[in-house]
Amino acid sequence: MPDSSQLLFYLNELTSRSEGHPIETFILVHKESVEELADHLSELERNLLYEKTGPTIYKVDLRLRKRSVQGWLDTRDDIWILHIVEPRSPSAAESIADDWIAGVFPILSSTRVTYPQILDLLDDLAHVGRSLRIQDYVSRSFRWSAGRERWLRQTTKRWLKGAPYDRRTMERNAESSKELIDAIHFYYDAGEESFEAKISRRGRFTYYRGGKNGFLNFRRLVVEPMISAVTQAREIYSNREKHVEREYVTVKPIEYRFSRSLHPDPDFRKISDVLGAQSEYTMSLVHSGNPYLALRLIDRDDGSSYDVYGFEKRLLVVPLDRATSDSLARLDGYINEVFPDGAVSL
Amino acid sequence: MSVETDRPDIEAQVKLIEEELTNRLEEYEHQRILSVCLKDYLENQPEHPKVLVLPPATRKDGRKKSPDIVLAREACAFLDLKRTLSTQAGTLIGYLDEMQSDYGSTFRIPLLSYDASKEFSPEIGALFPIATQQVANMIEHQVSILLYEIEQDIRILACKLNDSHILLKNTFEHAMVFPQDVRLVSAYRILNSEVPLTILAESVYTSLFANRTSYLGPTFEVSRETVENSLNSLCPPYLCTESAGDIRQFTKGRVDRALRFLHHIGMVDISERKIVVFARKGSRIPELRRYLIRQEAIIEAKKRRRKVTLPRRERVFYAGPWNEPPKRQSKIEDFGQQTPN
Repeated sequence: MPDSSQLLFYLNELTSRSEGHPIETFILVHKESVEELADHLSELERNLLYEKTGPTIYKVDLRLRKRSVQGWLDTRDDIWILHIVEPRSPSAAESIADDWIAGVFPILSSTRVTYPQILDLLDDLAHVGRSLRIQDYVSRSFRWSAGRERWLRQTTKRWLKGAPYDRRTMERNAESSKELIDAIHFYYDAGEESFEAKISRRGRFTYYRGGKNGFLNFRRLVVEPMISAVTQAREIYSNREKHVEREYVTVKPIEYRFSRSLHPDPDFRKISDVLGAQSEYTMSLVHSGNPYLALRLIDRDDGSSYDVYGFEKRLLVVPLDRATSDSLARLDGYINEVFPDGAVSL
Repeated sequence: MSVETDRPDIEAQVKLIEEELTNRLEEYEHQRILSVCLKDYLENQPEHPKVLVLPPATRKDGRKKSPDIVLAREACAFLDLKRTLSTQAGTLIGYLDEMQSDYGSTFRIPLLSYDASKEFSPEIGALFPIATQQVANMIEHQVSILLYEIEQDIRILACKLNDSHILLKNTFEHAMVFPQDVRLVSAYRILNSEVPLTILAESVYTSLFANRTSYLGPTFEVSRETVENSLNSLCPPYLCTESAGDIRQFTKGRVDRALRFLHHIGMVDISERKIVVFARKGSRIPELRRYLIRQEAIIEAKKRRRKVTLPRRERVFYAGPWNEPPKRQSKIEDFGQQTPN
């Protein structure tokens, strides 16, 4: 019966063969056991076939209608680490796994990392390794489409073709184009332990190729630090519901501060349009933004609800009766995409 | 099943009612808007705030909303100007600055926090801590003169209070806590006014989702008792009374009313004890409040139409003797006019 470390050596072996195997790694938060989850999925158009191969290891087959991907699930107490091994089409595997996971929220949810967390990690890697080079990075923003009369999510890929990692330049470029860095594809040079990988804000880590111990090093230097980072972030997002005790209402808002002034149009209009267009939310616009914005948001998937206030130089998210950390992290992700320049204060 | 109409005659009436409901809702929310703005202003001005720009107080139909008073933190006075003063804001500030130099550091008059480029049509209020009753009176007097000079029709609603909390509580009866430890005191008219159905329905709907325990199916069930309990402890989401137990925003009757409405428009299915929520219904509604207002307007339009037609039906069936079939009356007779001989 293989354990967690044996699985890692197996995957390292698999990736170090001449043809190579890209591996997608997801950090997941679960509410149920693998067995319970598989039972509940019969209600959806998804299936989970599993085979327990070790005390904490499952070989899994995620099925979404006619499509499927195979991988390994490493279950820990609080989180699961899913490795998808799909040599035929890595991008298709990524998309199937993403869709599959999104459909079982909130029983299973992928964790999110913030772009400063990604850049902090790359800072650390740059200090440790011989060199860190950026192949490309993807940034996101919302742009107004006059033709379709709505805000459309826009993804831009910038090719750096192996330029040395320079955090300041990347941040400056993203700031000037009002974009949010979403994923970074990089090459970490460290001899036998070199690896090429991509980190995404949506808690997805792709290992492309590397040296003899590349995957082991990737897991040690990228995945493990991110696990601690997301665990800490979850603590910050948890227990933020409103409490009523006697006549006092206690709320724990999340605040985004801006150095510029927010305007009813386009800023407040943008955030309300974008949130209102997401199928997971039901939104009520209480006040549309002159001089401030007030909206109520219900996360239909897990019942979390929020009041969102927009003021001249800040945006306030006030969790109401229920606010799970997964839902709050998801909302934080949307707000970051709409307002990449907002400095969050928790 | 949502309530819809494709009849043009009803549609016109629906639009009118929709506008009425929107105005009523805005009026209801006005207090909240003032309070939230004030709180933001207070928290974000490192120096003592004295001048505020408040949200527009003109309704869509051109009528003024009733002015209200918002008081904060310390004993303070608030001058509520009836007219929009955005163009005269500079003059007012200049004048208040002069007053500052007259009264020294006790009365530092800061700048407006919002600028005219945002196209606000604000009311302007002056808010300042009262050091002494005498000085407050003087300021009030001088501001009145200024406003007279710039030809503004004003009514001053200054509260000259020496001891903040006790007097303010006595004056306004209800305290507001939002959000944590900042305590604002407000004229709390909301408790005494009828809560708009849209607000009730919106809050009940939020509460149903907050009590969701099963996640994957197309529906989920919540017991009526759970919803009532969670809403009872809620008070209004942003206001809390001194005696929260006595004054309940969400009484059983109000919850019932909201649930009946949600049932009627097909968002929930209610039985005696349980409420079945259609979890996927409404996922494509871009704005819930607007949708609820629209649905309420349609129901109201149909109700009004029925009221107009009801007397005619009564006359036809109950006017004649029981042993004779009722005679069909002409349309002109139905409206009470004489038939030509």
